[in-house]
Amino acid sequence: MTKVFVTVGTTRFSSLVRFFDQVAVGCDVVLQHAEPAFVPTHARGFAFAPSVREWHAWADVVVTHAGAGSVYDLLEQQRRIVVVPNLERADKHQLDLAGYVERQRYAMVVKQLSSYPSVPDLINAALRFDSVSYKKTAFFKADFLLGLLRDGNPPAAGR
Amino acid sequence: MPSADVLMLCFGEGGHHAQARRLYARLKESTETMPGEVVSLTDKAGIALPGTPEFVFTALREKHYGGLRAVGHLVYALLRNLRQAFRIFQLGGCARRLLLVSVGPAFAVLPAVIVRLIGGQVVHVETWSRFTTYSVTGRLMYRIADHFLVQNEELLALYPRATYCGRL
Repeated sequence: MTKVFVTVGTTRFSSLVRFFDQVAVGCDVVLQHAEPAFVPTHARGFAFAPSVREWHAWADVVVTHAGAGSVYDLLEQQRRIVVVPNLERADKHQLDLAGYVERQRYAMVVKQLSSYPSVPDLINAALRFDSVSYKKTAFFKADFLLGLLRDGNPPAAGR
Repeated sequence: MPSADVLMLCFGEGGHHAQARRLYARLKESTETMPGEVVSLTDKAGIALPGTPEFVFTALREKHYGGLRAVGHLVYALLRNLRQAFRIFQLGGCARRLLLVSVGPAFAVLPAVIVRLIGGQVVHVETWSRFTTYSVTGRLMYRIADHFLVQNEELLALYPRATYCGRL
């Protein structure tokens, strides 16, 4: 049984949630769906949680909206993830991060859920996906900001 | 409010909140004591950084609707934010040194303008979710901020006067 956790963050993403709330042979699906009135039919689920880290650790595959907080957190944890940009939002800026993840091959990106006839098809594709480990240059301007506050000017090595 | 140095950290919920938490942690790692009082400017009650007072603004962006509904929400939010903006003016006016650091939310534009007007400095850290596209907030803050930092090197092509800062 493959354990699948689906997370949409703080913004509703109904098409993703409905796609995963169907009969999924061989998958145990848990949804974080951001819809307080929604009751899943086939999967288990909840609207929000103070932390979803324990669900990240529980899952074999995490399916996430392309919100940067979720995506970077999961990549840093080296989880096997599927990134689905939320195109139900009025702005489509999640395509930007999804494009970056796709170009770097950090994770499988799905822009059209209809490309997959069922949940197991999508999850099997994710399990086969050959991803690259996430690397980043960590933020290095803390001293610059503190210098602005202390002295009103950035340190010499700043901007 | 004290006549001390004040650092205003400006962020919204979700990914903006995650960036602010990480930024605050990096600042605290880099100094034994924070040089001044830290204040959270947010668009949702209850998400202030630990131990900091909170000024709650109304989010300007309507996530699910475009068109007239979004414009109506924008006008409503701007009007609601005027009161908080006045409080920022009062707090900032008492500060010996004032720095506002924004990590991306649109409502940050109004307090940023006020901070500039009363002689403070503004730093905008463009959101980590942008690589090849402008954000509305980014376009505005590029003109307003004293220092414009980008977390993704790709954005230097869009904002040539920006400074790369690594990713939170």
